[in-house]
Amino acid sequence: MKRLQARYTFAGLKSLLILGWRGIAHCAFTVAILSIGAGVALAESQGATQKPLVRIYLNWLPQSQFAGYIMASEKGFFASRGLDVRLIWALPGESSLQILERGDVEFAAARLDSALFNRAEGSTVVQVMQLYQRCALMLITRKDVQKLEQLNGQVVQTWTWDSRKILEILFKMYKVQPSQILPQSASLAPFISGLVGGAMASEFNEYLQLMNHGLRKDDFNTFAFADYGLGILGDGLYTRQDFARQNEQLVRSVREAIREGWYYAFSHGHETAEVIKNIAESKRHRTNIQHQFAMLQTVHSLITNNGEVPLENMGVLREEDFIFARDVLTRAGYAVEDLTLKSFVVGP
Amino acid sequence: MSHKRMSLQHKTMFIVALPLTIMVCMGLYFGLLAASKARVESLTIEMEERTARQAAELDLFFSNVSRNADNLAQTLTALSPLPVPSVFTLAREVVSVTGISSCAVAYTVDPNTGMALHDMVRTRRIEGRIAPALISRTRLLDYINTDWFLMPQLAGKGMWTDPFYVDDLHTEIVCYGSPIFQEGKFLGVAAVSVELDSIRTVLNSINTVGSQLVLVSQYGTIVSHPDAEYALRYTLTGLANEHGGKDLQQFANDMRNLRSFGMTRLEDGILGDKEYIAYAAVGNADWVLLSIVPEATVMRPLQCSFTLWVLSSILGALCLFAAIYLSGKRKVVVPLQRLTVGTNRLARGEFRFRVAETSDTVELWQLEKAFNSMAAQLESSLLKEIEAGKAKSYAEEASRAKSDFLARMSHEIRTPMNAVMGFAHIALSRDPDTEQRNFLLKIQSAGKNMLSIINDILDFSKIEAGMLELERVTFSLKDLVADLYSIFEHSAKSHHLDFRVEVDSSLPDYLVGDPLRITQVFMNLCNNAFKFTDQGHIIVRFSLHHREGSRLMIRGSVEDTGMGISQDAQAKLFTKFTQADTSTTRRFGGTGLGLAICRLLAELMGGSIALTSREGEGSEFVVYFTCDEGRAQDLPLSTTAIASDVMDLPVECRLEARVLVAEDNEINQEIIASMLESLNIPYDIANDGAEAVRMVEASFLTDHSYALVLMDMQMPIMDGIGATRYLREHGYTLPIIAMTANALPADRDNCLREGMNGHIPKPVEPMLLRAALGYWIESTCVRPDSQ
Repeated sequence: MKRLQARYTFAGLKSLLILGWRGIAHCAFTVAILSIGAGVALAESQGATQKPLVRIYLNWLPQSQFAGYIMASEKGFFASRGLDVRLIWALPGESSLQILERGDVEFAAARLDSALFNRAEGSTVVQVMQLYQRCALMLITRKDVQKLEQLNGQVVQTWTWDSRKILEILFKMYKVQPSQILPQSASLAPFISGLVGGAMASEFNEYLQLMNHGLRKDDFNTFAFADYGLGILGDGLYTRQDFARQNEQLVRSVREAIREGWYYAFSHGHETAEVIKNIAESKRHRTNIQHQFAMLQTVHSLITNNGEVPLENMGVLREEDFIFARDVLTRAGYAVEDLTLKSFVVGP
Repeated sequence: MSHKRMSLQHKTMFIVALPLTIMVCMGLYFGLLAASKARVESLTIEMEERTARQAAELDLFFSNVSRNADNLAQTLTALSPLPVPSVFTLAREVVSVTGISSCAVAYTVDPNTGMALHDMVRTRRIEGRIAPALISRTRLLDYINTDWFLMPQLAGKGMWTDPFYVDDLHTEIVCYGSPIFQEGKFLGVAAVSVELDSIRTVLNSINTVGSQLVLVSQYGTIVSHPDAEYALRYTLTGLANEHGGKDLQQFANDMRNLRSFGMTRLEDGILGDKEYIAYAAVGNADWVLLSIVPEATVMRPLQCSFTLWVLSSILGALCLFAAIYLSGKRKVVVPLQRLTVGTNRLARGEFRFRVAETSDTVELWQLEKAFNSMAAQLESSLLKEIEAGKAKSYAEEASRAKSDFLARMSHEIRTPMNAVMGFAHIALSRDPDTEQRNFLLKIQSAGKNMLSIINDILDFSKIEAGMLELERVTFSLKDLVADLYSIFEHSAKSHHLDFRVEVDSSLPDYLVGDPLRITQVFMNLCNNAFKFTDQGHIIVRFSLHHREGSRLMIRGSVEDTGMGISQDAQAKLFTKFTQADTSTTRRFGGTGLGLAICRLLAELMGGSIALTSREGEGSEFVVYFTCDEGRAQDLPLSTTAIASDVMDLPVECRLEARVLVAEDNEINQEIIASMLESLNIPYDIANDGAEAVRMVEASFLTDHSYALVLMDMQMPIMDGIGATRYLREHGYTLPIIAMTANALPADRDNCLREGMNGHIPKPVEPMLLRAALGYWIESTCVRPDSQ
């Protein structure tokens, strides 16, 4: 662990010297992870009686997508359960589950399809909670692209490698052959400029951003994955199988604290939006309360599946949803056909 | 319904103030409208021009920056592949350009190896020092999905990114990337960055007095805002959504792909209020520069000048108002007030007052002249009227004095006449010899004549003074005619004249009028007829002349076959103190008042009197008078009462009926005592009213209360009216008969009103006294035969 810390410290220093702002940001993230890791190591080495440090990796910028985690942390729901939780904010790039798999964090947020893709590649991640009860993924296309086939020969953007996988499944299903699939950052400028034919979007973020940029619904087209047979559920919380096995109580406590966090967020919408805005600002991310509040409302509809799932059932992955996702990936050639719900999920 | 009156002064103010106020308000309104329109127009031109100029300066800045990147890309295109030190040198030169904070050259990924073709070169200005950096090919992968790299690659030309925050530099930047091609193949991007603070510095260097600048990126992101909280956190549409203003939402939409400049006004604008916004495209970056001026700021100078203008307008209006008011007051109100004063003084009787004819207004000058003319006329006529009034007043006073004198004279004459007549009557009742009887009868006759003369004089005086009021009572015409006949029946027989009274059947039995005065008229005419007729007939006729509803005009006539009256005498016959000729007076006596009284009475009764006569053949006096038709049930009881003679009562009754005589005059006491004694009626004498009261009260304490009281009016200590009032107020109901020289009808009415039961005028007519005593004693007497 110490060697790992030293390697990352060296890399960070080097980055400060020779890398650009992007690199420095990346290094800062790495240093932060390592520092936290060092803290854990120090605690372990000293055998201190401090609360065990729990790191949760959230796979995007601070925003209402993670309102439950944030409010659980801010309102002390973790601490009241004897947990010392640190929320780790991602930068676009590496998959959150790969970071989890590496052991850099104890928990990570990710979509269900991402988890299955990782399991297909031998990962041991298991699900702690299935928060979103429907798929929020969509493909946004320029106004002139009214059918998926019209993306043939067009440039399309997507996020990390797991997002690219689900997009490729979609294109495969509908025989779409874009000219290029380029990485997609937080910026929607290439799409708004019309430089790309399509880009990935979530119902709760990019779609709202486009509206804020002054685009109207008829200025672009949307293709919801759910409408094209790929409605695999969205965000959930994952951990490693061995960690879950060794820390059953801790996992249970984390789950309960997050649930309580979501309850609080939904019942204190404006306060939550303001807290998130302030956290985002502290992380150099520019946003506003209005956008965060709108996002929170959309997330609520995702967690309750437009009211069909009561909040009391939050976090539960239904077997049919699991089987649907597993079958989609199996048909696409991913080796998850033997995966069972029981082996995939920890807890209730 | 009451009307509020407004003075001409106030009305003038109102008439002047209202149009003035309306004029001022309209002036202000249109003035403000024109001024605000002009202000907005000038502001529009000024702001549009200024904003376009500012945008042009920004555009110049962006163009300079982008040109450097483009030049670098072209150089690299031409010279690639260049060794890293050479690229560093080129990049360093670019960063030395003002405004550019960093420059980077990045190469694309080899599709075969997945690695960048070259390391990335970057130079950055840090605290004035240019710092180079080499980014390895492996790390370059982190950059190839950034907008500054991706967008020029996709667009095939230079592109500006949306501004973003750089964590490690703690600054906000915007990048321009220009693609590097080689033989049509994309190699990489030469990019430059500009810190937003530099752009803001450029903005601040532009004179923006009175306006606030907002810079919006081509993606709608607010790059610069007076409130830093909005910069990079909001898009223009997001701001519009949050503010909720539809016009701002439309404006945000209009700003997309803007290529020109202009100006608009928003109700709920970017700064949250009514504001004017000038906009201009910053062409090189496709950004939009907004120059915002709150409407309040635009209108503030206008408000100042408007306030000044309002004040000066009000002051002008006030001056105009004062001038009109003062002029109106001097030319209209003051002359009218003078006329009012004049009218009031005229009303107070100052007929000599005249107003000054000084008004310079024609109509008012004419009014002043007319007023003075009227005053002169009034003075003349009123003076005449006053003189006439005074004369009338003097005449009325004289007439009243005469009437009073006559009334007093009547009273004063009647008192001694009472003695004369009374003692003559007493003497006659004492069985005188023939010669004495003759003397006494002549004394009585002379006394009666004298009384008749007095009565005529009194009647005439009263009528002339307008003091005679006619009665309106229901009476029987038949009774009246019968009484008249009975009066003259004896004379007719003694003179061997045919005397008749004829009543036309068309006349109703009962009439409403003054029977005494009717009788008086016809008695007078009959008296004359009997005086002047030696032979032939005297016929009295009553007939209906005409009828108007219940009102009847009755024609009464007295026809005789006497000596007749000459035409000359007829003309003045009905004037007072006139007889046919003076010899008449000498031959027949009389005052000459009788026919004048008849005329006046006929006229009082709504009629007239006429005479038809021929000397030596006879005369016919025709009297017209009005009465209303009456009903039998309305006849007053008094006229139906049958007078009794006390001598007809049993001696016992008379002896038991004790009479109290209240009389202060000893002679009168003696006369009445003698009369009562001759009637066998016991009596007591009281010398004044107070004594009479005491005696009545005392009598009621014994078994012999008085049967009646004969009460004089004018007595010392307590007069007859006072005594009667006292007795009536204390519950004494015994009959009280006035016996007084106050013989006028008004005196009689006064006595009856005060509670007396009858009235016997002096000189006392014995028959009248006997009748009155008989009537009242009979009512208290218990006849022996009735027991």
